Amino acid sequence: MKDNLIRKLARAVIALVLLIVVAFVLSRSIPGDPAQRMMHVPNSSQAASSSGRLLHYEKLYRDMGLHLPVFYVSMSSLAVPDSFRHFPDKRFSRQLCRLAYWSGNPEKSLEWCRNHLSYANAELNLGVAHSGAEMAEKMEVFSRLNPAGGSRAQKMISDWRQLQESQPKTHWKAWIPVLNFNRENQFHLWFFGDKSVADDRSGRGVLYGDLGNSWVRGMRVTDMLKFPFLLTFMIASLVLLICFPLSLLTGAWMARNRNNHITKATYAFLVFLYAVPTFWLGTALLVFLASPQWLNWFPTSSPVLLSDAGLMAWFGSVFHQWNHFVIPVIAVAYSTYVYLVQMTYELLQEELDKPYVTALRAKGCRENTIVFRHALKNCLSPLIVSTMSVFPLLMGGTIIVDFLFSMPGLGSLLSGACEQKDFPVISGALLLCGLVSILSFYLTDLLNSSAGFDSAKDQV
Amino acid sequence: MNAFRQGLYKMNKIGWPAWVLLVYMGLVVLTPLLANEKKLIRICEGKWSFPFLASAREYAEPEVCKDGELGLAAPVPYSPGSSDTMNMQFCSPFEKQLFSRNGKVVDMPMRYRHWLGTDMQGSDLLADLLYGSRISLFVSVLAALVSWLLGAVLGFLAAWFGPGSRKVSLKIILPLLLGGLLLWHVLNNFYNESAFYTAILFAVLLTVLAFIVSLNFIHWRWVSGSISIPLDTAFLRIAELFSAIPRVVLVLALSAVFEPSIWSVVVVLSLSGWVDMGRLIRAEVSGLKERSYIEAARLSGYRGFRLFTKQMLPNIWPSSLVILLYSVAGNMAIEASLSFMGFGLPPQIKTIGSIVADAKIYYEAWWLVVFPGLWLSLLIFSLFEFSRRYRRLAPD
Repeated sequence: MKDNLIRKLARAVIALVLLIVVAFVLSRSIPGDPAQRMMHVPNSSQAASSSGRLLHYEKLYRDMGLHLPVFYVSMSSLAVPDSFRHFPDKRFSRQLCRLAYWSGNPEKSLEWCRNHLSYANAELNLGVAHSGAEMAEKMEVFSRLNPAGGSRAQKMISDWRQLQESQPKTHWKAWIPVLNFNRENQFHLWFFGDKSVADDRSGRGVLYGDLGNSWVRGMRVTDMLKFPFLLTFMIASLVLLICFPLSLLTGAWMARNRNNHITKATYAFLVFLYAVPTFWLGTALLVFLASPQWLNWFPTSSPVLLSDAGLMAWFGSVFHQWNHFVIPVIAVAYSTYVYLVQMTYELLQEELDKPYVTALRAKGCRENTIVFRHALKNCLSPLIVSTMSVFPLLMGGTIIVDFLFSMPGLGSLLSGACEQKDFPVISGALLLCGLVSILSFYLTDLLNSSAGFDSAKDQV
Repeated sequence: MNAFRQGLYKMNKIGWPAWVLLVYMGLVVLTPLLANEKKLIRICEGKWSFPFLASAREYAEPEVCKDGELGLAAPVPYSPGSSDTMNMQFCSPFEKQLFSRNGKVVDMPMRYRHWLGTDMQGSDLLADLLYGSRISLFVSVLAALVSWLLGAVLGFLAAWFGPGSRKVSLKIILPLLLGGLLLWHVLNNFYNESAFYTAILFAVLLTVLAFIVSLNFIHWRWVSGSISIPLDTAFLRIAELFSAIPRVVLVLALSAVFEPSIWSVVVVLSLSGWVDMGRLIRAEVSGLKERSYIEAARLSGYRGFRLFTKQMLPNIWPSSLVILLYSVAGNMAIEASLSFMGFGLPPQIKTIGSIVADAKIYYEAWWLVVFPGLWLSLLIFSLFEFSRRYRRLAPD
């Protein structure tokens, strides 16, 4: 028993680690440059002049840890250290790498690039060259054409000669892979936080509950996600709480009268309802029940929730505007309800064919007692498991409905973030949703095994 | 002919869902013939032409024939997205519709009526619906097939290296590891370089060399050892993770990574949908692995891919078909919600989701809600029913 619990805990921990890895990978798999995106955040780009902007960019680049390697292990070659690939100036980085591949001498290449690259790019358009060899060719041509250039050009050419002669014929170095182990890297910074800059505002790392700053609004992601996530989670749990007993009752009633025509018709209707997509039913309810053109029963406007005055005020505002939440809850609930009813009905049908039910009937037990007392109790364990496995689906449905009714929930936030490619918010939402689901799975497992439901066939 | 009869027999056994799906398939295939503003056949001065075959770019308005023209137009004489300027701004199906004939505004003749109404730009809802369901069906079926393939490969590997399976020799694993490392190295350091392809060639050659050496020439004891790969456990944990993340969130996040296009939707849907397939295939294969006929096939020389396709697939296929159809239905719903939220497909392509989204602008346009919804629901429902009845019919 105890051994089993530990194994389950280990499984949950592994799932969490995988989730964190997925969220991290997602937050780094971005088209475009994050620091460039951050430049446009309203309150952070005060510098107007171009050199000021450049400095600001480089500061942002360092603050976001983009000059570090991505993970603890990275691979580079003998000719090019890993750090060469992470300079704020992408073009500088690329050219440096090419030069280092060609020369096989990282230190000298870095020195030459630091001193002369911008001059060379301006003077002889070195940026056009696509490999180290081409760069060398261009330099050769330049030195032949300008044997007596200015002192700046002479300096560049003499340094170039030094670079060439310092370690000739070391192209092979580029082919030798080197494994690096980086103590400081982006993942470490993201997960454990940066101790040097950490305060209670930012830089504390995911482990301590800081998901970074939004690229669009510059706010902390946790602040942005808090109330929307709470709203979505609340709706999803409310739906689950309503649906579970209702669907048990309906399913049991249908199994009790299973040869009834009404039951068959109900079942067919429920199967059809299951095929109806959430977004469509939501829109239909919105159009027909809430709009002033048709039945004007519910408000169409989105609820205004107080998010500045603390948790209790927020709850109060949700509670006072309950009529905004009626249609959304119905739109989320129906598919879960139908799924659970089907589940209960099928499980109970199997259960009612078992010999002990015949024995109970022979004893003279009433049909209601058999169904509701005996059979339903035996079905409860798989039902609870499948109820909890619906939870991620339910969160997804809630997100769609959130968006539909433009409520201040996760759906509106997430769709906005996706539109603006605000990756910290997206990966934060992914992390939170996954976390909740994994925890709920683990709790269900725990609940089931502590209630003695745990059987050998659950061990996959 | 016999196969046709057998198919007909099976369709009859399954009943109405089969026929409904057949009709949908016919509509999808024949859409350009059914809804098109260009004429299908045009006879002008004795010359036959087929304007509907011309693409939008090379299509030019035909000249007027002197002695009147003959021809055949599509049943729905509108293309998707083409705006009818007389009936713009949400025209209801029962409303009075207008038509312009020779510069005069007259009542809409029956032939040109918008039977399901129009939307904001005045494009015909029926045409939009036909083309939209065509695209969404194409995307969902393709994504289901891709995710089936992905799930089949991963599930098969998981089951094959699962508990009670043979260990794998280090002689194979070490060169594989080396190859992986080299590939990583090349992708890391040579991407964007002119030496990229040389580097890849070099890495592949080195890996092959390592395979040859380790398989033929190395007889040290520690290399001849073998270990069992925890592929099965890894598969299960990853599947657990994927089932924990809500699919909508995953799909939204992935669609933010890719540029909107049809192919990106396929990729996103199949990346988020392979888990159920993989689980099914894994369960089936690990059940079949113990069967004696598989043992016999292995003894008679079947291995790996051929063993899977020739011996296992015929037994896996019926349950695969069921889950494939479910996955097509799920993909359609997800795709529709995605385009409803404005992601996935590029905005100029109208699909069922984006049609319904238009109704949010103008609440009175009930036809933009009712018809696409029923259309989609009927399709999904018949997919569900088909697979349910098929599962009952199948011997196992």
